[in-house]
Amino acid sequence: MKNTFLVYRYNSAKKAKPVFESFSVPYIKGMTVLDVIQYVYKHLDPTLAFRYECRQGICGTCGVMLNDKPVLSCSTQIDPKNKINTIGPLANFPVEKDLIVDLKPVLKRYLEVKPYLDKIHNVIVTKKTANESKPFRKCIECGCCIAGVVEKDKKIIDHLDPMALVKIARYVTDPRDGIKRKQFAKKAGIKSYSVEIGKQLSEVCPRGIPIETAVKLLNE
Amino acid sequence: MNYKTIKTEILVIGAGGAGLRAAVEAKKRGADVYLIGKEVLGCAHTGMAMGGMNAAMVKPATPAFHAQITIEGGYFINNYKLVKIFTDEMPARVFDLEKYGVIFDRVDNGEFYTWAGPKQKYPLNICVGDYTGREMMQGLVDEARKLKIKYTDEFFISKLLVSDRSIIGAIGIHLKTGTLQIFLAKAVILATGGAGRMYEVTTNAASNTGDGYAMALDAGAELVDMEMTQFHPTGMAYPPSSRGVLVTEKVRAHGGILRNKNGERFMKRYYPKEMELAKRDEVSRSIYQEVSEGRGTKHSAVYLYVNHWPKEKILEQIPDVYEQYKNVGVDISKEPMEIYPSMHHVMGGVKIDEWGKTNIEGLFAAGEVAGGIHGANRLGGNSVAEGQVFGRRAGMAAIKYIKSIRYQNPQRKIIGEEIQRINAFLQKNKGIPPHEIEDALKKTMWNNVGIFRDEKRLLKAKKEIKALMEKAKKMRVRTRIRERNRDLQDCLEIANMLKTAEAVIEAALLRKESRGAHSRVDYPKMLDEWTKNIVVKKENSKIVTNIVSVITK
Repeated sequence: MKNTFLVYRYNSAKKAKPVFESFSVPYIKGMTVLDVIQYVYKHLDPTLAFRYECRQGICGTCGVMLNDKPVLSCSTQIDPKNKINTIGPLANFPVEKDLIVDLKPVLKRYLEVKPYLDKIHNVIVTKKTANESKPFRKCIECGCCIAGVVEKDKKIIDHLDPMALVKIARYVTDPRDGIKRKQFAKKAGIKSYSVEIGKQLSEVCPRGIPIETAVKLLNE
Repeated sequence: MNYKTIKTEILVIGAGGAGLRAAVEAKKRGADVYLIGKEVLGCAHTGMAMGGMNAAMVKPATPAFHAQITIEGGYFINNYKLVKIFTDEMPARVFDLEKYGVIFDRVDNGEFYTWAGPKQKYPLNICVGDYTGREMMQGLVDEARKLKIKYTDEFFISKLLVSDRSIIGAIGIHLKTGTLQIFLAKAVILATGGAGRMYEVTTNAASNTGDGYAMALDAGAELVDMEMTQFHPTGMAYPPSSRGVLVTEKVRAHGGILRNKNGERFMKRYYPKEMELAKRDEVSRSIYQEVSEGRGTKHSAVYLYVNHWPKEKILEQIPDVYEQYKNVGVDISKEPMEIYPSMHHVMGGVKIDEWGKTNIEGLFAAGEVAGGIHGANRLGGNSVAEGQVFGRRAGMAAIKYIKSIRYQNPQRKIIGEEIQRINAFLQKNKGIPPHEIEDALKKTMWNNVGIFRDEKRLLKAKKEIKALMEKAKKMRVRTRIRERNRDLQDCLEIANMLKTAEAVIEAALLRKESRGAHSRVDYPKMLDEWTKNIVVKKENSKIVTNIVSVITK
């Protein structure tokens, strides 16, 4: 049995328009999106560009859009009932080549939120205080949340994208951190996040981070 | 080919736990540091460490106890001096990591949560759920960002530049553009990780291709204990795309049970006292025996059960293992996992002293690429740990070293030869696609240089690797595109894996006994006269081996 995959092709170094190219790939039970991508690269087209590292769903480098939904390609299996699937680069990122996105704009925004522990003025004394930030510490910077922002909400990304939002929540819930992060979140536009947007993004997050909780917390 | 040159006092090659720690230390102490990573910053293999990290944080564990079981676990060929420094300094490195943002799991009164791995009469493993390495990476990357450390990721260093047995820099290509770049450096810290990808089944990330071992050998550095390759007993066995993926030791340490297809708790046959918590080499051999004697599942595996745990315990202790199996349609709170050993760690590596110094002036090494700390078998939780101690030390030592050093320009001839080597893969009209060589290499290593070894299979492997090295001269890319040419990267990585494999096999042939991860069917006993280390180096482009005494003081 073979399934058809429409794979996004584009090279920012050349001037041609992006296209979806069709590849026919034999289905194997349990096959992941990454298996499909590697099959295409190995047997059908050696010019296909993609990222992967760990196959364990933990490095955060292999995010793609599968049928317009952001997923980690290494830990997402293909549904054999879908005869045609599309695989594209993460949405809301500039594309560098094929399935590889340019991370620069996202990292630039990320650095603006000071994504590190600073002005340490406290210590961890209980399990409870240790665990407050734990859900947000699970972020692997894969960018799936950013790619999951839908068209009508897109403007929120330019102010404060969800990956940066989670990082702020991570340090707001860390008793050691001494930066006034909630004020920063207000200035950056946390108000434009509704709990609904938060919920929808939580569903997209491969690490199951409760983004709606982060939104609520920063809106307090 | 045109190339740019960048000058930096200290070049750190590899952006995993050890490389980041080295860069942080050197930068904090005022050096001009440049960090290079082959993968996107933060995505290195350290992040795949699951269960925990060893440090004597909670009594009755002490650094002396940590040192003792590390040496016993390593079957007495560890470098004792390195072990002592490692275990003494480890608690301070834990507090460093917490300053970088990491929060290790706590118990109610705020003390570290600890659990006991094999040999740990007193628990040493601290952890963050079962994604300890990922949180460590996050903390280290956060700290690197805070310190504004200069870095280039997705960059492949292909050769170390050496002049008169001193390091002067390195050369490599941008994976994004295929353009060449030279780094002139006063000191280089090698932190390139391991070589799991040379085996068919591995827990390792794709980037672990032995680049550091190969480049160090070519630079004239000595490697030690290369015959010691660790197979983690519990890798995922099914489906094929997950084959080899790590299932943490934390599962067995918290009461996970191994059974064969007949439901027998087979560990009682091999290690009735330790059972599931025998050492990694011991459990791996036991599973191998069960499966090879016909008591494995239809996927040539054994079962690992946690379905007797309360679901909350599964979700708190091993949330990622739960997800890993959920993603492939197995609910481990109801069904068993199918597991089989998977190549996990290279105990050997570049021979270093307590400051990460190698025998090449100005070349330092830390993390998995360095050897000597783990001896013949590494205890779980000691790898991510040790990288923190020796990463920091390499950073400190490099700073001291560069004070009296001037930049040196490399010979044009050497640069020209490396450019020629890289271009040859691109320019050939006929040849062999790289993945053909890689697939053959993986099979050779898995089938002949695995959990059990003997002279016949090792000699077969030696012959096959030699033939593959010849064949690899005909490797060529299937596309000449400059941007993101994965085939070109593969060609360079395969050359490195072949050189690493050759070093492993030469040392494995020489060690005519069984010790730790090195199990010779033809020499099944551990022998006193082999309480020695094997050093591998290159002389006139040929591999030579030496037997040396263990450093016990």
